[in-house]
Amino acid sequence: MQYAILNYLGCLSVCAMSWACSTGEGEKPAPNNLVLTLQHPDYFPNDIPMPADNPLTEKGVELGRMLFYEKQLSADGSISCASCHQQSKAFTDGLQFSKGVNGASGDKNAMSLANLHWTSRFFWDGRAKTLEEQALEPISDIREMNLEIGEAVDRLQADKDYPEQFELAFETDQISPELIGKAIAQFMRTLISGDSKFDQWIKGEIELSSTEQAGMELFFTHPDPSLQIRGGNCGDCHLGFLTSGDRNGLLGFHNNGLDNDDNLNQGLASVTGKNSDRGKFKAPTLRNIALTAPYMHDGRFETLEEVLDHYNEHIQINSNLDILILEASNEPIKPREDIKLHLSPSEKEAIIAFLHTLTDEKFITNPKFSDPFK
Amino acid sequence: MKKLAILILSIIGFTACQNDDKDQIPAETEVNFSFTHLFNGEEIDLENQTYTLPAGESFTPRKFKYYISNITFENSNSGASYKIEDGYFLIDQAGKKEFSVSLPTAEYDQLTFYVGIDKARNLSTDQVGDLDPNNDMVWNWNTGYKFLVLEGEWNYQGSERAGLIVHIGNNNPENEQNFKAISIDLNAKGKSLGNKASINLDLEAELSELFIHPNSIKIHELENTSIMGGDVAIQVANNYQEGLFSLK
Repeated sequence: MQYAILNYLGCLSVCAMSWACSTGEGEKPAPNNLVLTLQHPDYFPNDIPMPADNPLTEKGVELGRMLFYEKQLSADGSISCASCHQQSKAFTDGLQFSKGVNGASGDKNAMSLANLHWTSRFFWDGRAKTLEEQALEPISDIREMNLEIGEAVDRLQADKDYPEQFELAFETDQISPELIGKAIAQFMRTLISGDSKFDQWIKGEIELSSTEQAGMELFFTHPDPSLQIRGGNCGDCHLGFLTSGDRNGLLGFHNNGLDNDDNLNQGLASVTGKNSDRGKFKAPTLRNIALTAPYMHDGRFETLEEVLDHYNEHIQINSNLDILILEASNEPIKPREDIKLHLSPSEKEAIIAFLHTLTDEKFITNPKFSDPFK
Repeated sequence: MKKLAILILSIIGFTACQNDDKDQIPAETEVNFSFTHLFNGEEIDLENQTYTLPAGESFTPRKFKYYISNITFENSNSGASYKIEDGYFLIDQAGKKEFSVSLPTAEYDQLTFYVGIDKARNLSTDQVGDLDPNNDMVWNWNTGYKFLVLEGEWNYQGSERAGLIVHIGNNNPENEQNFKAISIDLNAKGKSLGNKASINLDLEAELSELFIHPNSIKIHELENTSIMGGDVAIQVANNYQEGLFSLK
């Protein structure tokens, strides 16, 4: 066992030396606007191209950061994207439901923004196909910033600084919704969290405690009682180093047994129209999960302990429950019994200890991601 | 002047043709593999399509993926062979179902490839080819890769909702019994390698074969609907060795 880990670490420390990775393509060099390559750990997948029509540029990211923190993009000038996506909370807001203008409230929990280049389909229900598309929706959503997008364009066009910023970033001072989306998406792509304790362990820089190590192994293992393999079954949906959902189409959306058939939220079904997608939601990245409470699409759980208890002993059977949850237990499964993982209290503690290794202090304090107006 | 040009071009053209026909054997042959996955003869659909397993159970597949590795071409007369080094390819019904390899041109009439990852590479997790641990195919950090994954919804005679989870891998580094060689006679299908610059090998996998040959596997007779190791996994592995793949 130890042999395998050592061998693995050996490789990763080599991989980690080539830290930067070039994914830029189709860029057209603009004067005074450097094309950037996304800086990320080399063990993140390297085969995902940048959108050809929105290469990452220095001025684009700079503009996107301004827009992310721009309160003019809300109807009454009271909030910005950053109001619900606060850096110190790994770009969440600590609330069950975010507050929009005029005290309006939504019905979904603000998602953490990290490593978005490695995910596909945005929002809990997957309704945006691209980050560019996602970036615009909260501006016009009446429960959020409630600003008609044409009005947003007019306000920025009338601003003393923005036309020039758009000129630098996109070679036109004619602001459009499309360019606003592109700029914000560029900034969001730079929000890379890859320097947690888990990352340092991957790079072979530190060792995890025995509890964290045990938690990691449980996290990534699908249990099989017939082979005496114990597992927490987390990695079936929160894949690999990114601990986020499958990028492949809609495979990264799962029904995780929060409700019975009578109470299923539409979730992905509101996008696909398929009854079998009811109650399916995006598997979010678990990076920085200790900072992003409350949990689930509707923020129903306040602590990680409650989340583990849900998966361990409170799964609600419904007709779309993910089969990898349905068929996962650390004890032999008997027909007609409730679905239980049968993790011990110390195993749950170990998994939570591992989840805490995903906290990335540099990410939440990186000045490049902070409010540029302060 | 124009006529002269045409004359010269014709001569060049003529000579080029002659070269192609006789002397120009390419130094390398590119072999393009593609895989089609069938269920009872129809191409499988992971979007709510239900099929009948050989034992009469109903099955709605959601995921089917596996590794192909250790590809070797052989000349059955001389015994000469060429192995593709570091060739590990993840074939995924929801993703990539093709890949290409190159080898020095020679007469080969037999192909062998393996389903799974050899012992030497299985636990090293060193990310050659498609062995990226982010691909949802590592069992966990210590136990190596899943070789073949089939998951879906399973039902038998109105039973309660259940998932059929087939994860075949090799948890035990001391045995390789689920790492299986598939042998294909290229000659029989007129697909021998020789002097061609490229050749397409279109393989079909009939998934019902995973449950019948040589081992008949009736899921409703098993203790549960997960096959992730032990004797039943070995039976499935024998089945993918024997009957799963055929060359079109």
